[in-house]
Amino acid sequence: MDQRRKARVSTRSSPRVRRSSVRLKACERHLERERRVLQARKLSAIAALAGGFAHDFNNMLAAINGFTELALDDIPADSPARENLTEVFAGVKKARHLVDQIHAIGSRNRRGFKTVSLSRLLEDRLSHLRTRFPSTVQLQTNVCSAVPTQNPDFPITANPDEIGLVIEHLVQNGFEALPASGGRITIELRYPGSGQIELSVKDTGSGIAPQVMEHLFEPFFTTRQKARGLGLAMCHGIVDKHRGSISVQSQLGHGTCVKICLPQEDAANNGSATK
Amino acid sequence: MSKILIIEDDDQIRKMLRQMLERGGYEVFDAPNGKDGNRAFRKNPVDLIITDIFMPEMDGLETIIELRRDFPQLKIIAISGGARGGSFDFLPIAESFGAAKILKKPFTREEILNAVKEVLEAKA
Repeated sequence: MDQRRKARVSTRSSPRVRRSSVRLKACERHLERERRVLQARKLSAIAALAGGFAHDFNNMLAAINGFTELALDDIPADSPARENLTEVFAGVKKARHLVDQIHAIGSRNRRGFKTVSLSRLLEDRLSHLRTRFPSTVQLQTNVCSAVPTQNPDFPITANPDEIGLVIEHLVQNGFEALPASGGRITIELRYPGSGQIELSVKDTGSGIAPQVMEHLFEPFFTTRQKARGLGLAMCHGIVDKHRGSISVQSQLGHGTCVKICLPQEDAANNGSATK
Repeated sequence: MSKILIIEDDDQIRKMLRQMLERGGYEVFDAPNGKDGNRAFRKNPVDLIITDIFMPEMDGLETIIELRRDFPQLKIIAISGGARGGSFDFLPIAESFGAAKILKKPFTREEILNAVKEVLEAKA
């Protein structure tokens, strides 16, 4: 009797459970969309702020640099002031680099865009990076173009310097997440479909806490003492400018995977042609 | 001696550019915005204009459009520290409107003097 009642209850409640489950999933999707819209608005506001800051700061740097050069003209060759004034240039250079990073967060300038082989660019950047890491760090690459119709060059329309910077930054981030004993960083390149190329950088490091995840792309947000917190914000800006997307999946204690999707060259050209 | 007109709203940059160019052997004039610069050029034509982009009264892009419309052979160098209150870079636009050279701030004295020399020596 009990069994029969249970079965009846189960049969009766099943559509209700199914409806609730569907509603819950719809709510989750809606919340995710809202979260993305809010994130995009926030980053767009920050980008506007960063643009204004970069402009005014560059003007100040131009004056500091220029007047220092002029002052050096008037100072005798043997004056100890020369060495100190020369240090000003080093400071300006550092500040200029910082401004360039901030500017990259929101820049829409598509100068230097050309056809780039992402697989070759990746190999080029990794050859530099390999020399930086100790032998306890394994750097694995997996370039998947198994289907003959897929171009093994992974062509994209991009500014190679900027995308190269993104690759370097993500791999460096993966390295910094690894414990002192070492670990593995896997870089994968593949065609996920829909005219996209996916580049993923996965590490076996410490992972990212859920409360940190939502702030990851915000400028000046960092959990590291020596970092400025501009790297991922800059990567987001660069990828966005290339009409791509960037996402992060992480499990605390098990590592992080950052995925970048960029339009394949033909898809990118078709996209711009229709606009 | 070639004559150069600097159009720049930032007093410090204007003063700095004036000194750099005068020490480089040029005769220099200046104006604090596009409107005054436009007027100054029509009154006293120069061989080259160096203009900033973001300025009050009349910005650098309008200045380039107006002057190039009436003086198509006029040589212009556009300079900018980047976008103000936005994320768009206007230097490539200045180039498309006829600036012979664009230079992003901060630049070195060597960079500006080389740009000036190159533009002045180029055939119109």
